[in-house]
Amino acid sequence: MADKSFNAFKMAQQQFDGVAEKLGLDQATRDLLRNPLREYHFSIPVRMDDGAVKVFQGYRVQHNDARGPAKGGIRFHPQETVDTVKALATWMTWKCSVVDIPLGGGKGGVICDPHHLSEREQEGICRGWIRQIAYNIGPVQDVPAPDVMTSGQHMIWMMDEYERIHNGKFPGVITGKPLGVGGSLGRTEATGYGVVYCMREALREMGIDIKKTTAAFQGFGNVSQYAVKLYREYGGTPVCVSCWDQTDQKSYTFVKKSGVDPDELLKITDRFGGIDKAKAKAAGYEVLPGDAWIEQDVEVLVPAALENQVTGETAAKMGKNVKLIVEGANGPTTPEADKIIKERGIFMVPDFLANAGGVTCSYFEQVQCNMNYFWTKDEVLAKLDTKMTDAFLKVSALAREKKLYMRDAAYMIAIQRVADACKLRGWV
Amino acid sequence: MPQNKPEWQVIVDLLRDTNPALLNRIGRKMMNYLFKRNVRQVESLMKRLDASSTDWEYSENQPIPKLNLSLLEEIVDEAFRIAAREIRDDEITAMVTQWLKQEQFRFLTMAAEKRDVPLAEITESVHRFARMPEIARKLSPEERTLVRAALIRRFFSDDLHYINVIKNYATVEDFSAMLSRTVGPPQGNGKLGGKAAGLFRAEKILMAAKKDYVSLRNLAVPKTWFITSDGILDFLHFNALEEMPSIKYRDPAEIRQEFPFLEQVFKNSSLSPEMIAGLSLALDDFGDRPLIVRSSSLLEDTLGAAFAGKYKSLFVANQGTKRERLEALADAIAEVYASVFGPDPIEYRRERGLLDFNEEMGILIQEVVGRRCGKYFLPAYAGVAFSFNEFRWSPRIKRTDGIIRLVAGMGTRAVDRVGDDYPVLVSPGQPGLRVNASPDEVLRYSQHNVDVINLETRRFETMTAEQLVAEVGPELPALSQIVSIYRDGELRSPTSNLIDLAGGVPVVTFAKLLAHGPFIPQIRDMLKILQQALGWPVDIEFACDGDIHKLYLLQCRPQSQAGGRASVEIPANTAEADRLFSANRFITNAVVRGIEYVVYVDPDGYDALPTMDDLAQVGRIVGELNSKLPRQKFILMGPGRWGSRGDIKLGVRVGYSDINNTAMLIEVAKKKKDYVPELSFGTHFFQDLVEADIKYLPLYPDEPGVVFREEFFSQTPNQLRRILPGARNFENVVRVIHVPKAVEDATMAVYMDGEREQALAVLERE
Repeated sequence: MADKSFNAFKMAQQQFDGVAEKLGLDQATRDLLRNPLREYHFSIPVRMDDGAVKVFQGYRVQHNDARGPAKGGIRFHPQETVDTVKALATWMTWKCSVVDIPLGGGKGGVICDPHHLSEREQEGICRGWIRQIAYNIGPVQDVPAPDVMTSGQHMIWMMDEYERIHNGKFPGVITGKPLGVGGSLGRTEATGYGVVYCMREALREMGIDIKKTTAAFQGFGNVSQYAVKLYREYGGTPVCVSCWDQTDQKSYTFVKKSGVDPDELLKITDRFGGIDKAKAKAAGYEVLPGDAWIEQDVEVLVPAALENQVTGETAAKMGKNVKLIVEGANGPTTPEADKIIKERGIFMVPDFLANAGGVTCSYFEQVQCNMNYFWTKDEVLAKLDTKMTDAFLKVSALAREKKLYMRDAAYMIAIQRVADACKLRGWV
Repeated sequence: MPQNKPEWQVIVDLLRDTNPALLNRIGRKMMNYLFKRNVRQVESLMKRLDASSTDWEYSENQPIPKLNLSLLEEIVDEAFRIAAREIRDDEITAMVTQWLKQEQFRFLTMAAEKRDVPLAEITESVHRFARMPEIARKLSPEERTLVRAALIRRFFSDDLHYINVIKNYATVEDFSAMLSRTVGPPQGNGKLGGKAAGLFRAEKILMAAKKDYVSLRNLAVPKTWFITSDGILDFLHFNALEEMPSIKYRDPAEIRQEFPFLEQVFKNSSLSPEMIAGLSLALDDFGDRPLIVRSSSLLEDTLGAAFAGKYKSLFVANQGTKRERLEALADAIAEVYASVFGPDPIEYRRERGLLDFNEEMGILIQEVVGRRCGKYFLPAYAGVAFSFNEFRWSPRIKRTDGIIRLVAGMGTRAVDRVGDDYPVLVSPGQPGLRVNASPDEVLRYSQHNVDVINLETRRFETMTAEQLVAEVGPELPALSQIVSIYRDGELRSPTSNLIDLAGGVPVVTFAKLLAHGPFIPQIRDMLKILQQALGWPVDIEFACDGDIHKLYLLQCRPQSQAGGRASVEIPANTAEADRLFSANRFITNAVVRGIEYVVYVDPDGYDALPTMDDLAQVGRIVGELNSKLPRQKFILMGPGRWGSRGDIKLGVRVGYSDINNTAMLIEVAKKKKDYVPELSFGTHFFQDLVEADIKYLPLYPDEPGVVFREEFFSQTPNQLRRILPGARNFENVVRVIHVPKAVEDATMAVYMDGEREQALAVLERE
């Protein structure tokens, strides 16, 4: 049974094998990068509210830290498997590498379900997790962050425990912290802005004036809201966004040919990102079915909602003028759709590059913490722009030079950099 | 004869001439007194009263002989002679004086003991007693019990259990206080009804426990006026509507059709002048505080028939001129009266065989607990608590710890299930274990709307929590105890009363109140004490006006199990071939019968699906089946935790609207290699299940002693293709079993006995 089921780590390895083949990596490098450098498994005894002690299983995987301290989230999940965590750690290595930040890849967590735990018990797990691994993580070793079912609160407990053990202030041990206790400004904007920095550079390379473009955005969450905002500031015309409607249990596309105003829409949006249809109509928006975003007659498509949105079926409906796709979401495009996009010669900025603004801002949080000096929001965003632009230019240069599809170019550049670092260090 | 007669002698002589009957009673008391003081001679005196000791030929089967009056007098005289010899004069005088004083209360015992004594008369007697100086109000223990029991019977209930419990707590003074706030036909003999009885009983029990429990020190009951249950008869009579009660025997459809009209007839009728006068007094007492008019019928809130939500409870803003306020109050009362003849309560009575009972409707007029904030009036928080938890969202929660449904503002949102809004659910035994864990879940499954009384429009209104906080702000009572602020994906409870709302959204979480406040001990102790005193699980309603140390008890009644089912009996002797599955963990009381369709998601088939999209498709197919299959006639069964928004591998991804027509959701935890997956319990949309009353059952098919006829679910012909032709590719995963087709004319039933932790699904034939 288990053989037939989806194994994320196997998939990550296959993906790596393909790129390694194209890069012509030597066997030792392949063997090193196919697997994590280190895996820690440990037990965390926690005194529960009723006085009993329960032992939880914790772990941390450091896939590769040749380019810098490992970076990656901590997940609280009842059915976590080490294969999933290994896969996610691997992807973190590539993601940090593609944006060229000096970090490696890691992932970790605890097998537990916060639904069956009180806050105090969760705090016990967080502190217990740190106690078991306090000497194997740290600002210069491995820097965790929030992930599935963990939040800024968990990160603060962990940071606090780490600081007690090491007798000092080390806010750079962990990121994703709330403002005021080592968090960075600009985190909310980072992913959406990063998407548009990539879009701006891609259009510039294609010789298209961003001011004369129109773009369709799927989603109206954190990423989409800020992407639309910055795109407008650059003079582009966002013609639609889409969102999930909780009451109808389906999504809708909100179209305004003269330009979507995110501030106007936010006033009629509930806290889950659902836009009020009636009020939107009154404000001059056309309310269409959820998948209508992809059919708009625009130059740029920004899928920034969910995975598997641009499929063989929906890609066929893309407008004839589409020239660029920037993937704001994780994995929005299926392999079948990739084929169509390649055939039509549409330029693609792949997800792990386009939405790397988030991890870049985490890196900035770590940097600011390590020097205990915090930048203004403008400083953070300006540095983000520099970093993302630079990363994009390098990937696109490679793609141009080697006539590669951008997704392949991005993976190649990411893996190449990690392989280089390993080589320089004399590991392989 | 001595020169100076002692004082008692003067009294006795006087009584002999003026009131021999009274002297007889005093004499009897003297004999008892002497007997208690071990004065031997009195024994022979008592023997003379005992017929069996005489020379009369006597047998048990014939009437005992009657003594003549002169003999009685002789015995009484003799008793006093013995007393004079054996005890001091001043002692005798003191005793006789005390007995004479007690004799003054005969009016009270007599009034209380008499059946059907009019309200005016008994009120007068009780007040007369209460007005006496305290020192004079010393009843003998037996008389005290007699009066208490009689008053309880008169105003509350003939139920022996009720009388037995409460007679140890309630005093005549309590009744006096209550009767001074009671309105009713003066010559009538109505009671105060079930809700009043329940509240009175709970109040007395809890007040008595105050000295032992710090948590209850500031417990209170809001000021309440009562209308006796025959008020409705007076109303019907005054408006010539006497034929109304016969309506209950009519055809249910007819009742339903006619009720809106009838309700208007009631609202356009008037209360009698006596009632109006009484209500006017009540309004003077209440001032312009908002009021709630609660039904308190004779049948309501009795064990096994809670009538929860069947009769109306109405809020009145109680603003404006006295005349306006009186009119609004009378209108609300008429509407509550009309609800006696509503289709739902009549149907409820029919189902329980209570239709022939002459239902009468008492009414409670209660001050609404709360305070004015801007133009609104609302409590800081309110809710209901049950001593028995039918909705455990985690296996760590004990059923007997009870459950609280807590809301900000008026408690109406906790009492009723509103479907798209969520009260905070807390187990008083494990207050840290909340239903929702991540900030996103808390945000989604939090209370979005708040019920308030708008004092300007004089209406009961619902507004969003955000709107209320924006409009009223920090003035809201106990705000920092109630909300957390959601900002940048983080949810934080305020550290102090300085709440910074900028850029954040206030979310009702009660984080601070539940973690540190006195609230949890208040509720926990109340539930415990009441359940102990009464001997059954209780259901209470409470509110807090903003002072978190003070809690108001609004109502208390026996807890009715979900669906009014107190306990479930699993049918014995079912044929083995008819048993489909059984379960023995985390069972709640419920019975689901007449199941025609089973939608079974095959755990192995689900596990083998290759892509995320395929997995998601299963959820969509379930959603389509939900809209195609007959409502409440099908159940859903499948692996792992349903409704998971996180990892889709954990279970079928469905939303509430994908399952809202199902009667039941069964999560199957089939062993995978070496571990058993955890089930959802509280996670994700568990609260949706609770609010929609969809039954939930976890199955552990690999546990010893558990029945799981897997082949029935995996081999019976699949109807999926017939119902959803487009879903044929998923026939190995989603199986739709049409039970009557699979097993001739059978339907499936699931019996769940929470007390014994047993559940059984069987095939049943008509």
